[in-house]
Amino acid sequence: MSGCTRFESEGLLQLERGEPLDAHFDQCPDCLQARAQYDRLKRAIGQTGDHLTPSAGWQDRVLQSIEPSPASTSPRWWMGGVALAASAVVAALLINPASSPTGTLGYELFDSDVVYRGTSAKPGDRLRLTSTITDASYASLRLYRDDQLVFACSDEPPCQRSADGITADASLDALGRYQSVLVISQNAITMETGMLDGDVLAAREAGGQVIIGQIIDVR
Amino acid sequence: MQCTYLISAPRMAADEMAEQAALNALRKGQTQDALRRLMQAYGTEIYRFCHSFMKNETDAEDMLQLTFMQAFESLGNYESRASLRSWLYTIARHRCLDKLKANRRLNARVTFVDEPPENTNEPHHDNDPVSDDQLSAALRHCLARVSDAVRTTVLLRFQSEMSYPEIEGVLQENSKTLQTRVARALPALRKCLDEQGIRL
Repeated sequence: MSGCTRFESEGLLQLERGEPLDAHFDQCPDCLQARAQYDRLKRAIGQTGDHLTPSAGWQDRVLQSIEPSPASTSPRWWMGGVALAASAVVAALLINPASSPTGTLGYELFDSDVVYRGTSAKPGDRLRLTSTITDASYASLRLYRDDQLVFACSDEPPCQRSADGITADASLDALGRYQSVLVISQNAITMETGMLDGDVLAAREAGGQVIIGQIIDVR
Repeated sequence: MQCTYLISAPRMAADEMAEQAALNALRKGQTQDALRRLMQAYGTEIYRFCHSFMKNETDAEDMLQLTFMQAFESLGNYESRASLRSWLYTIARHRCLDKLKANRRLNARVTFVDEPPENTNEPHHDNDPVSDDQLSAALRHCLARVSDAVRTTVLLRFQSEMSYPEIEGVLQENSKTLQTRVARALPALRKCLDEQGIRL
């Protein structure tokens, strides 16, 4: 813009204040052009976050965290974010009768053989998923990277099944957001989409319990 | 010349419906149902708001979840002085600022240079029309270069489409100050775009 700059110096502020614009701005070609350009800029600012969406399952994680836990009744317990890190879900215990399947899902991160706390890791670190399962005849421990299935197993590698639950070790070789999921049920469930959202939906529709773990960000 | 009313009518209607549904659930004592409705209606925008503070997806999502956890704890005491949406933004802002403060304490012994992300976009040639994607990418770079206060205000205004009274409620700053801040920020952002060869 080489000529009149009044729109920048006065018109923008008038607009933000909700004031009527001076008549000048209707007649000045420079100002009319500037206004059109700033309108585009404002629209573009509004779109700068369009590529950002929270990961699938975040609402479930919030709901799981706010369920009262018999292990801790302090309302402040989860405020420190401990609930997020632990991701041990005991909600099903309270909601369902004793015979319903119940489970918890936790994790540990390893750098070489050294365990460390956190929700982010670097490529090459190892993730150990640990679940406990009660009263379920079907269980599937699953890991997704950027919402795509990395593995799903029950008692075959990389899973190891014990009387208490399932553990699995995974090497975090690729960058991305890793999301663990435990599905338990009294009946076998087919989840074939290979995508986090689709599989979780299929599990729920089949009556399965879905326990969503903590996201681990590998960067 | 008529003033442009920035907040779109469908957006306002959707917000009102979400607020009303959540308030109805609250009146019935169905706090969890109210929370579900709020997460559904405002989760994504609160996440984007948190991302503008935290600048990474993991922390932004942690803050998003903490925001709604705290909202659940406080919903029973919610007083309708502000909209539920503004109230959520206020919680989110406090959680993000707390987290940033904690991060700074944690990193106190290490010097981090908080530089804006490098703009890896191809330089734009002035004669080419600018696509929305190119403009958006260049703007993200420019927004990373302005102060936190400016970025937050501008995003609340144009991304979250808030009115100044609403922004005032979230940021606890005078509307006139906020209006001036935005009016000054726009030319600065435009200048930044110019420097990247992006002509609007």
